[in-house]
Amino acid sequence: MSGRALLAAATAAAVLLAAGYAALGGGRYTPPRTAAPCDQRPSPPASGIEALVSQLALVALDGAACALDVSREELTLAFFSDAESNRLAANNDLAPTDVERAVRAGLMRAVEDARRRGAIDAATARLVAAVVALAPLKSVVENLPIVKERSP
Amino acid sequence: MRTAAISLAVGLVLADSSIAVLALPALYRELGVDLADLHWVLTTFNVALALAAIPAARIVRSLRPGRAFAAGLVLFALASAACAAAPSFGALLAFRAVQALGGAAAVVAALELLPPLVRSRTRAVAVWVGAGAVGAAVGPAVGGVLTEVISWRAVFAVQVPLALVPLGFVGGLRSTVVPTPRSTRLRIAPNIALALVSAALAAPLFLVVLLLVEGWGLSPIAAASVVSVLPLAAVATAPLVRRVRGVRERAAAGAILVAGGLGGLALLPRAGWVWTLAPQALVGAGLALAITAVTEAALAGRETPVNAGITIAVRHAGVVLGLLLLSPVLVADLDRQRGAAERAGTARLLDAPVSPRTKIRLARAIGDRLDATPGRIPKLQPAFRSVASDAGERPALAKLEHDLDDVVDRAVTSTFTRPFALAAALALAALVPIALPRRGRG
Repeated sequence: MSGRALLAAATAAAVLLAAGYAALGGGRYTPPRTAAPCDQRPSPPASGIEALVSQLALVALDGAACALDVSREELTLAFFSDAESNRLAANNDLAPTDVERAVRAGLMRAVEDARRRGAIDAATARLVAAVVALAPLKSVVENLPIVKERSP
Repeated sequence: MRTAAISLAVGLVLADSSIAVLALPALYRELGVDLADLHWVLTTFNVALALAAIPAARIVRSLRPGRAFAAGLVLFALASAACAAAPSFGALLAFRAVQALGGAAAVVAALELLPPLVRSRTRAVAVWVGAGAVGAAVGPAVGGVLTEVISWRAVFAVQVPLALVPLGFVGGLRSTVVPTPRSTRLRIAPNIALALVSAALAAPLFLVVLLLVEGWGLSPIAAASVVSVLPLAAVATAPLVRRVRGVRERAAAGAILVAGGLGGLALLPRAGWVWTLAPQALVGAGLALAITAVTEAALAGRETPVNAGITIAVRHAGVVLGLLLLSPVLVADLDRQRGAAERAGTARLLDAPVSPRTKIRLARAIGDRLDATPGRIPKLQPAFRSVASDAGERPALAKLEHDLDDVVDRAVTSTFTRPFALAAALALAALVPIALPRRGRG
């Protein structure tokens, strides 16, 4: 085999492999983007108390994330992982009062959203909103990992 | 027989630059090493070999090569035994450095012992370089099998008898049968090409193993089988090395094959070991062509121990350079992809059609996994196994687990894209010194 033939064969093999893998989708992965928490998400009609609670929780989470200017995914991770809660609190300079205010805002948004969709009637919505406004959320919030790790 | 024994010694020493790579997870568990410090098992050996090669060559020149070879191998064998019995990580690193000192003397002296056996300095260089290339390529596979079947300590223990075998074959050898080299001047361009190709080879030798074991969860023995494609391709290409006369064409073809294989690894279409086979085969073939050709070009007409020591120093400095260049890119991308994968996985979890109670349990279990594996992309199966659910939710949970695995696999695979692409660029950069016109044919 001549040197030139070897060079041509090597070039062909290298280009074919890289082009073939690129054609099969290699190198095109981009991580999925997380939705903006302040945008309204379409909510499917909920049937049953569990589905309603689930929907309320998701809307509340969006509301809290919107108030803190983070994604709902980052906030969820911070609720369940000490490392993630430290990271989120450090990156966004969060204090326990910020989280308490955000959770209250999220719950209010969830109640209002449920009322607007007709999932709960106006009287129930007013009652729940009053509970959310007056409830001692501080103690609940202080037991979340995101706050527990940052408290003095 | 003597040629084979000396080749064994060269292959054995140079295999040590990569042999411990599949033993790293076991070392991490047994010696309680910090993850960020683990690479020193490989880096220490390569740095010590690079630093010791030239002084060792000067010692070989002042001593008889047979004596230097024997002394180097005995030191290498003793240090290997000490590595196998190392009580701590610090002791292991110290013994690895001693291993490299002995290995450097043996490898450089081997080039002085081979010419009388093969009756040509050019052929001696080809044998010497080929043995080293095969040794480095075979290292990870052999190390992986020994770690899985016996223990990481066995990786070093088996080297003791293997290092002593060649001692029985070197008695009475002299290095004065063939003409002495025409020149002692250093060839710069082939040495630069050798450094660049060696830096690029750090990726297939180390990163592929990391991807298979840490990324895709293969066992060390399964990973060893997968990475054995690379040395097999190198061995299969060896006849071409002898058949094609043009050194420059062989070097260029080798660098292009290495770059193409690394490009393929950067562009893996899916997560799965099978996709790494063709790129590894190209890298193996390229390694056999490029390393042998650029080393031959560096030593052509000037096969002195010092020049041989310089090629060893350049080669291992290249490997260290590759590790130093690729590691920060990998660590940065790992952090970025881990965050993206966590957020994407959380989005799927939040939107999954399972009860809030199951979601909270699962989120808590996944949070625990994240905290248990800092700085790494976590395996999520244990989190799913730990969550009890209603029978009605199982299909949705199975789909969620599959989706999250897919998110993690894609994130892991793309973590390695930029390091492999960077390594491919290093291999292509080697084409510049390879293409430079050769001057000063002493």
